[in-house]
Amino acid sequence: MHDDIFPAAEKILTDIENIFKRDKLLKDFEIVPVTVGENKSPVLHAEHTLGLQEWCVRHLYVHVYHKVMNLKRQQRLRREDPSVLSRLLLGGVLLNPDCTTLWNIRREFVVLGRFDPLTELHINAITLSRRPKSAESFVYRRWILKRMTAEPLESATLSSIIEEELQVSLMAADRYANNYHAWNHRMWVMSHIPQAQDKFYDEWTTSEIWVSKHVSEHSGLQYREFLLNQVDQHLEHTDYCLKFQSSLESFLSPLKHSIFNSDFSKHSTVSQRLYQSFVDLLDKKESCSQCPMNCKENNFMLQIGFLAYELLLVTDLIHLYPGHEALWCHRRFVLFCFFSLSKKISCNSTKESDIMDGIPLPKTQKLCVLEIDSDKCFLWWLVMQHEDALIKDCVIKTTEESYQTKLALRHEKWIKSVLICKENLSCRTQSVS
Amino acid sequence: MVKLYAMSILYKNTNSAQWLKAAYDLQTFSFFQRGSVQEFMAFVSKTIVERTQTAARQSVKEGEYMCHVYVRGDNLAGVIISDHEYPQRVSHTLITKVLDEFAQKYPPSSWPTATEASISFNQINTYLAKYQNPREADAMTKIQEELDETKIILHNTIEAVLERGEKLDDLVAKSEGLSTQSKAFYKTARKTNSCCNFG
Repeated sequence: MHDDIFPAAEKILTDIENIFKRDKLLKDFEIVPVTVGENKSPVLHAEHTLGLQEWCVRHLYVHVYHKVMNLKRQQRLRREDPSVLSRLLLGGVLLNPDCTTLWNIRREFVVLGRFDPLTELHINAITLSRRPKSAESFVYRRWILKRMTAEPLESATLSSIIEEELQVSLMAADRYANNYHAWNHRMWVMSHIPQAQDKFYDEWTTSEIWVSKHVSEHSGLQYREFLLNQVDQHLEHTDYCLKFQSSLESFLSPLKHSIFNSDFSKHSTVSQRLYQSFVDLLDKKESCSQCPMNCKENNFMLQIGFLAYELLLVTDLIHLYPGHEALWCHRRFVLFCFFSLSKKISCNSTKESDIMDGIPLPKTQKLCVLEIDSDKCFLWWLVMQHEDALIKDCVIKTTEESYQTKLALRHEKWIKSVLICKENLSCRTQSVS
Repeated sequence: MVKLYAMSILYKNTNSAQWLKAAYDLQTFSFFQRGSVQEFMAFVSKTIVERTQTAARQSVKEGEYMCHVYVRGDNLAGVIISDHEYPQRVSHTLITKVLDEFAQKYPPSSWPTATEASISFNQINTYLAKYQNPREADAMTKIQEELDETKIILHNTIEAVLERGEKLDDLVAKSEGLSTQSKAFYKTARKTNSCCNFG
């Protein structure tokens, strides 16, 4: 039938497989745009990159596909010469990683023990290097990982697997813009392999570098939001306390210039204690020699530290790269975290919960996320000071019709209509001077 | 990605532009593509300089890339190719700075006869590496203020910069600076992109 249309196919497949066997550090596969075939092998190999000239791709894939499908139809897959079959399957997934059937046949052989899971991960990573957004590849990858981690592994092996996964997903995210598949894979690794949680703070740092380089992509910011949501599981004293201290100080700086004129302390002891810690921090009174933030005494401190750090990071990026909506969207997320936290702090003491579980909200409140009484919560007041400053700054610095101004005004509107405050903010502040 | 790919200094003659110096950072491209990408960036830089008037600034958006060009009053020209996230202002400030420095080192009289080989201006590589982080630009605020007074003409495609009747496909086909492989690369890229719009 179609078997003999392209006689060079088996030779090319063997060449590809040999490169895989020879070069364990192979990291890239790509198709080189050479449209006219010369009388030599179209397989190239340099600097751990495998290249295939374009002219043969079509013929090669047709050959592989028909051969595999014929074998499958005649149910001869398991009886076929293993070396021939592994060549075919390798060529197949390289050229078209979106073909589920090919991956399924591979699965079958992994279950039979004929394919080695580690080699599978390597081959899969190479397919991702050309098609970084292939969902099938990622699904297969997770399937292999699930199988591997189901059995007890040595900790060294496990940590090298985690390391590899983080690297692969970063590579995929770098190569294709808005690659949510890659970030979702990273999230899966972080949440399904318990040991990956040790990497939490590393991830926090790496993702900061990444989002600062990809300011128009929400995919990376979404991963950061995923990390932020897990912050409360990681509130132990670390070296990061020092890092957060400086951002907390600048976050709190509005407190220096104005008196927070309110009787909030009557309402809430938690809030009061927190306020006191903030004032201590600003005055550099060190109550605990180990940690300047006194995080052990007050576990909200670190949580606020995280959020303050994030808020200032976004402020910085918005100024540096004007006109990227993804940054503003992320800011909304951070604000919402602050909002929930402020609520938690003020509710903690008054014991009155605004939301009754299961009872639907009144219609007028459906759009907004319930009011917060900023009289009681100086934390929210602080956040709003930062928002005011940012919006003003953006409007002044850029021209009226610029995208940045538009985004800033939209942000203001969002705050006003979704995160409602009871009164106008400015009337509660008094200048010290 | 916030990234600077290429920075070149050219001299604009009456008919054509000639290279004085160029630097590239193409690590993010895959190995077999790098050669073609570099040739193509060089081709685009030259083409755009030739179509920019003296004492004018232009920024051209092409897909996810931005190409910033400044031809000074004395026909010394600078081109930066970056991606679309790199701040436009910083790119233009950087071009001004690099051109000033170049003009200090080499007098205008030497430009028409100079070739890339005869010029050693390695600062261009340093700048390309350093300004990958646009925060470095804070030190250049003074130039930035001057820049605010000049108008930057913004184009949304390369085609918009070309003269009437010119087509990019034709220019690529007859270019001598592009190898056969780069031309094939261009065609493939063209084909891949065109399936997104049903035009």
